[in-house]
Amino acid sequence: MELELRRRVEVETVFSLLDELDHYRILRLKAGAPTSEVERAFGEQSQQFHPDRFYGMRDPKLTRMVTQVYKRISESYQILRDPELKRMYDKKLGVMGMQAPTLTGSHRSVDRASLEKEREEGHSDSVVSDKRAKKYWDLALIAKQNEDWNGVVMNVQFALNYEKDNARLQKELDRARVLLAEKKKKTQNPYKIKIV
Amino acid sequence: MAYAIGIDLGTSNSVVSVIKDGTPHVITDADGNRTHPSVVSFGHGQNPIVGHEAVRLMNLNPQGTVYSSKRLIGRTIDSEEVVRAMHSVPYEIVAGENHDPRIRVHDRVYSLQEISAHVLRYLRGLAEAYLGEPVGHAVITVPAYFNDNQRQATRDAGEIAGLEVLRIINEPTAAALAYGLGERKDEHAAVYDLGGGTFDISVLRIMGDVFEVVSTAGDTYLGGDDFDQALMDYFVAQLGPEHQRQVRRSPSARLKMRRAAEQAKKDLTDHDEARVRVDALVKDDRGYDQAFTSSISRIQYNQIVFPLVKRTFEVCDEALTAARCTPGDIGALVMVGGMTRSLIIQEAVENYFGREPALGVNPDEVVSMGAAIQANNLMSSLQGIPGGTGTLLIDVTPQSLGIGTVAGFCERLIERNSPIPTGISRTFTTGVDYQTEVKISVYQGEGRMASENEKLGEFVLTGLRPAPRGDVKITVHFDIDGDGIVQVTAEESDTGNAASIRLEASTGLSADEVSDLREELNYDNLGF
Repeated sequence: MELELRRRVEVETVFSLLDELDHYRILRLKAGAPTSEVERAFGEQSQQFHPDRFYGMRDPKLTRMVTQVYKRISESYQILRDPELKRMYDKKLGVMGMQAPTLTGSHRSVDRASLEKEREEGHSDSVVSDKRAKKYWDLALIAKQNEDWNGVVMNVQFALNYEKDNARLQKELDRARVLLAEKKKKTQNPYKIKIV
Repeated sequence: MAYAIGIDLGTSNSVVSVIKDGTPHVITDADGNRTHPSVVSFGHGQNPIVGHEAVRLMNLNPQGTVYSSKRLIGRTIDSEEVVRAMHSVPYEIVAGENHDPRIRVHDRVYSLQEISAHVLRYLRGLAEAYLGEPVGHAVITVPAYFNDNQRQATRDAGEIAGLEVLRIINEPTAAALAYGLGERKDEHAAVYDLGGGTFDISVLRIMGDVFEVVSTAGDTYLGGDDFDQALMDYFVAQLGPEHQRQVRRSPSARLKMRRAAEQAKKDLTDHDEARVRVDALVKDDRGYDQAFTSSISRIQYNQIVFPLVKRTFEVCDEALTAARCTPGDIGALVMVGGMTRSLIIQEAVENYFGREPALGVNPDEVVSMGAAIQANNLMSSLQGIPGGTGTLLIDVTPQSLGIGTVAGFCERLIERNSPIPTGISRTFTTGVDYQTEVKISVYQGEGRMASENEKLGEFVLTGLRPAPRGDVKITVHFDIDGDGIVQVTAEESDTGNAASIRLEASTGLSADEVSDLREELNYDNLGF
């Protein structure tokens, strides 16, 4: 019974701190810890906070809390086990050399979805290597932000002139073309008179 | 403590186990059989016949005997698998209300959930007879690659069969649990699971008591049945054109041919050559019965099935890449499913992983034993018995979850191989003034376009506060629970009011249908 109470308090404590814990701290790791430690820590935290560990308590409020906690543990794990996402996150956290981690409340701004999105968008360095292609790719990204699909199509086509086999650019072009066609369909005015 | 059973609900055969006095027991039928065909035969009587007895009735009652129904469960009527089944099975498949396949026998239409429920009800009965008391709780296994619809349908089948389903777990994960891998050793393990209808590969990391699935991949269109089919096609091709036509037209001739192919496949496990003889397969020009005889060598067989074997390794590559592993990193290899008895599979798998598989547990029974272990763990936990919480299973979602966006794209919300339970919240807003409904289509799969993925359903948020567009913000929570089943809930962001959600365009049964069927099906209580 005492054990049950202690576990309940643990869950409540972590739950109340969720917004303040960064991805390392929720796994009880030092900022910048290596992947091998991340894997071990995930196992340990799962032992403690996996909802199955509370299966028998049949307390809906506790179950909701522990599920929230576990979702965060699992999300942090998924960021830190992926070398690329971990690098991106570490950079944001400022874990370089001797610098101490300063970012608190970092979850809201740096969750997995936003990191994945950043990776998907791609920094221009990682998408193209040719300097001239990079210039057009940057322009395409701006156009994309403004949902100017025409601009995306044009600039990506220019970038493709310098990097003909870039699959990522090709993918981006296909996507922009579809979106452009969609937009055209929507804005078509059936009463418009065409002058020839 | 009340018993909870573990059920491996297979495409061709099912197995039921229970933990009794601390050890797993495989439950037999009256004849001592340890595996039970997942076959349901509807006669004109009240209750259908299930298991070995149903197989015996197959020849007499081909249209009324349903087999391999797991291939159809949770799919849509126009899916590849269902269309293929319509051409190859002797029973009649019709479209249900929700675009789901159903089976018509003697003018009654059954959902796939009901068919599976009959199998589960039968297995539950065997367990009750064995234990001498009623059994109300179970863990049921599904292929790791099963999507949400297929899992939900399996869960509903359990409910209809009068069972409280403690958990739906993945077959390869259950197998790893039963092998007692790890034993304080930290290592990676791979489970190669080739069953009657599906193929799964799971990569696990085992650290003491924690079994963490790192990645899983699979093909729900690839299994032992496809090997039989390939072999059957090979034999049918040896017939003349007129006889081929006869076989195609006759369900019973196809069934005979299929049995012969199945037997030949089994014979080739122990022999270098298999002989095939099917009596009265076709009729000659004078209308007399004519037998079919042929033979096949193991080398020929290997050539025929090689493309299928190769496909399993493409899936293995995918799982290993996702786990950031190479075959050499795998410390333990487990083979599951009847097809892994086949020599060509054994050799190829050993060759791929560069090691021999772990031995000791029957590949047909290991999944149900793992399910029984997990059932026992959860049941102990429910009843507050300490010690039952020993092993922790962390499983993953096999496919990404996404929603439909503009121009037919699919935006990914939850990546595949995310540990479950997991979830994500998204905020949506209205796009039109005074709009009171928002429709969200949910998909599962890896495609960038929605059309490349499996549609789970449409969630309609209704009763929104009428306001200028963009004014109402709704937060939608997409959660995947411990069973791998998707739950969608919503609330208005400012007010915190729960928005009501209606699920449309899903192949599933409603809660009412499930409880009605549950009552209807609990025909007898086996004397308890």
